[in-house]
Amino acid sequence: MTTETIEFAGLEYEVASVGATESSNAEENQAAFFVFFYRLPEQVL
Amino acid sequence: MHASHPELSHFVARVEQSFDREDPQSFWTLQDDFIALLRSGFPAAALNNELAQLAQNPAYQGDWQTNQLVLHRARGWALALWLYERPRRYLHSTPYYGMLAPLGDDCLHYEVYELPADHRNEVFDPAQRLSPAGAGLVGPGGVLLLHSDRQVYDFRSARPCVTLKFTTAAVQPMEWLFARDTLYAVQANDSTLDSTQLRVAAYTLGRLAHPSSREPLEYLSRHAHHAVRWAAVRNLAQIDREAALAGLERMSVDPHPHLRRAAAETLRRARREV
Repeated sequence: MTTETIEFAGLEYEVASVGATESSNAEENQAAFFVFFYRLPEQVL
Repeated sequence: MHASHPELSHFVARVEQSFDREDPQSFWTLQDDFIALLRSGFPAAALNNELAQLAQNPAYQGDWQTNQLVLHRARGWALALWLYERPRRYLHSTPYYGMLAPLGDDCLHYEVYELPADHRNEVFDPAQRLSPAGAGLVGPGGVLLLHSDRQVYDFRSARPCVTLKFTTAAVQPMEWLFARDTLYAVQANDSTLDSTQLRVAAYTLGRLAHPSSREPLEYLSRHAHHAVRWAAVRNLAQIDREAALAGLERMSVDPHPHLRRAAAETLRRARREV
């Protein structure tokens, strides 16, 4: 296996994590299904 | 909660009988059952029961979340008492189907926006813009059906409004945010926590770069969510360049256009390096 770096292009638009910018519909719905939340280190609008 | 609320038991049985998780449209067949539950007096009885238990036992922990009391959760759907408080900074799409019924004397006012006819939830595009489609209100005893695959809702209420909320799990991979002033799309968020968690997991495995993670990352590079696929192949490259290049070749013909273009560009760069 070789691990030389590949220079990756970015996706045109990154997808933010659940509720990244403000509380979201998904987050409130997910509250009914999940207990724990994780957030990616990403941009906030 | 079921033991003290036969109306809930009956509703749960009806949902389990009629709701097909593989066919989310079947959710709409349950409108009459939801209305029957709403009119049965169950919501007030359930809330009173919770409050009585809290009063009698300070250590009691019901299924309370930040702004809702979960009355029942099952695979693919949930029923909750939800407190609507205030509008958000952005207009949000709703990545699940739902039925909302305000309780008590409160009315839930809302404005509706149509998603563009060519909207594809899985392909974020900041050129997509909402079209205003009027306003409405749901009063006591009324039910609002959230046809969220083609509409976006913006709720208003003069004061916090308690609502009986019956929802499916996410039926779309992303929740879009739109600017209130321009109505253009500004961001897409994951609609399910597992998509976020899997990207975090891929990132962690890439940082650890242990050979044993190669197979899980290759598996993850075929996930249904395009951002998870991309996170998997990016982090696979930290472990096995050849396997990552093979994944990129496959993604250069991926159904998702963003992934297709990013993979093709990455392959061009990799070939230039050789």
